[in-house]
Amino acid sequence: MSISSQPVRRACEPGDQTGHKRIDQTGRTVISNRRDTLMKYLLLLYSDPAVGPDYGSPEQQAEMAKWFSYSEELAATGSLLGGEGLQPVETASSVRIRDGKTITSDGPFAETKEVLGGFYLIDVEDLDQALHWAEKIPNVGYGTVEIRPIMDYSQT
Amino acid sequence: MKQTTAVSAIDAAFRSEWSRLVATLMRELRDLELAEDAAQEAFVEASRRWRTEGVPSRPGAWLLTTARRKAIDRLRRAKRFDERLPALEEAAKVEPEPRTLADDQLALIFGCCHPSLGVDSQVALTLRSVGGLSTAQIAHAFLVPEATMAKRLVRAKKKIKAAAIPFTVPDQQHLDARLDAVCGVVYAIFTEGHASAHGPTLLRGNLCDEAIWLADTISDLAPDESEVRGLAALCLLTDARRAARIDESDAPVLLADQDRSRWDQFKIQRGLAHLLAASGQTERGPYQLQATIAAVHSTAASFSETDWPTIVNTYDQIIRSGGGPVVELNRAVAVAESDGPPAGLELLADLAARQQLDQYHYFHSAQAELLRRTGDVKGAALAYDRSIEVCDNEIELAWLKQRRDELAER
Repeated sequence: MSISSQPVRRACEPGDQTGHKRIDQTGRTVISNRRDTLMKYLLLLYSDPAVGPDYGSPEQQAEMAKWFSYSEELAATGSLLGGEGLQPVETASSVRIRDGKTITSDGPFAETKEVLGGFYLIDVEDLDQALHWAEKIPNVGYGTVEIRPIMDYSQT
Repeated sequence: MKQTTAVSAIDAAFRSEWSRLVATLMRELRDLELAEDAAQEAFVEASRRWRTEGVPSRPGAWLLTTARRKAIDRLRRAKRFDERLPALEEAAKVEPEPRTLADDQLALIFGCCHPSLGVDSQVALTLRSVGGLSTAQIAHAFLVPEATMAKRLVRAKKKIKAAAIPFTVPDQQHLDARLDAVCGVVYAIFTEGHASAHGPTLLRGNLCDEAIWLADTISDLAPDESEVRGLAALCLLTDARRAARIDESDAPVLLADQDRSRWDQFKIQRGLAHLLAASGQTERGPYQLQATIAAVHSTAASFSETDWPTIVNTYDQIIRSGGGPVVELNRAVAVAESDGPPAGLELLADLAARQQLDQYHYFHSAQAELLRRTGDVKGAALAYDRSIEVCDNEIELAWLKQRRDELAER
């Protein structure tokens, strides 16, 4: 199924001053809604520690190789601003101040099955590109990637 | 005379130009709110000036230039340099060339139906930005307060901006899924209209007419997409029975009892044309299959002369591609028509054993109807009782009670 073999992209005709046409990193022709400034997104990687390959298993080694190549591919496009994997959730501490008193506690802020395991900060053109990179994250097959646009204080 | 011509010209221009205007402005401005406001203001100015100055020779071009100027005014009022201004000022100076807008319009539709927005928001945005309905009309059609609908639209537009949801035609890899989402939005609008027989009057009639217009428009923009044609066909063929499917007291009339002379032949022909255009392409998707069944009904001279084997066969295909228990129920009813009520009842018993449709009143009323036909009046009454128990639609409830009481009179 396709929208005509030749996509109907006639937005940039000679003399058209308002369209911008270029090929983006995902090989897609972008015309409309192009931003002159890029958008930053935080990809939050959630997964259930009980699911996924066991540490040291061949499956896990294969997944590690995927993580490296994913990070490399992302870095090669110039879109990667940062990213880290996190220590297991058992190592988490939470802190809050209530009525002037500091309360430090063991464990994450919210007790859920899927926990935050890592993140990538990326700089891309729009949400579809952020989605494109999120879909390629190695553990998206059993985890969840939450995509959060970064606040742009110059626009508010 | 000039006045009436102007009024009808504005009406006509609104219907044909609104979505094109918003689509072009969206590409240029990358801001849905601003695009809509500028388009709205252009129409307000048209309704003022066309009365006295006459209708311009190219209303669409006039509206675009006017809307661009309105957008420039708004951007200048923001008192901050805006990167969009220079190009927009240049564009507003020249008469727009007539050009194909398919890409802009598709981009607008795909943007409004972006899966990162909630389905309610997708529906509201599509009716507003593509369909040109006012917030009040959309709120009225969905029976929610206008303030609620306004909030929903504002929130959706904020997300589009903050998350940079692109208004573009998606790449090949995502096209099928995204097109499914678009079809889902249009079909949601249609079923909402179909469920409320006396909906409010909107731009093109009611929600069913809006959905048909959207499906027709998308078919024009993407003529090779067979599922979009299937959707258009399904909406048209179903809606063709509108006048016959309820009686004077708003009670539903069964397909078997409908006065077929009241079916809208023009809509049937348009639906069949879409189906024909879609045929022969790849495997038939769910909308095409549903439309095929609707087409068999539409072309049958009477209920008894319906081609039931084809209908059963088409339901089989839908089930193979992942149809749920409701599809199995419909298939069982078709089997009853094709092979007799006992065959249908046997299939219903299978479904009942799985307990999936126990809360679905159509399941029990279908069973009641088939039991009545086999002469099992007692069983039929029990099934109607169960149907009445789980039905929450007042009009249908009254109808079910009437059917049950008729049973006792025999």
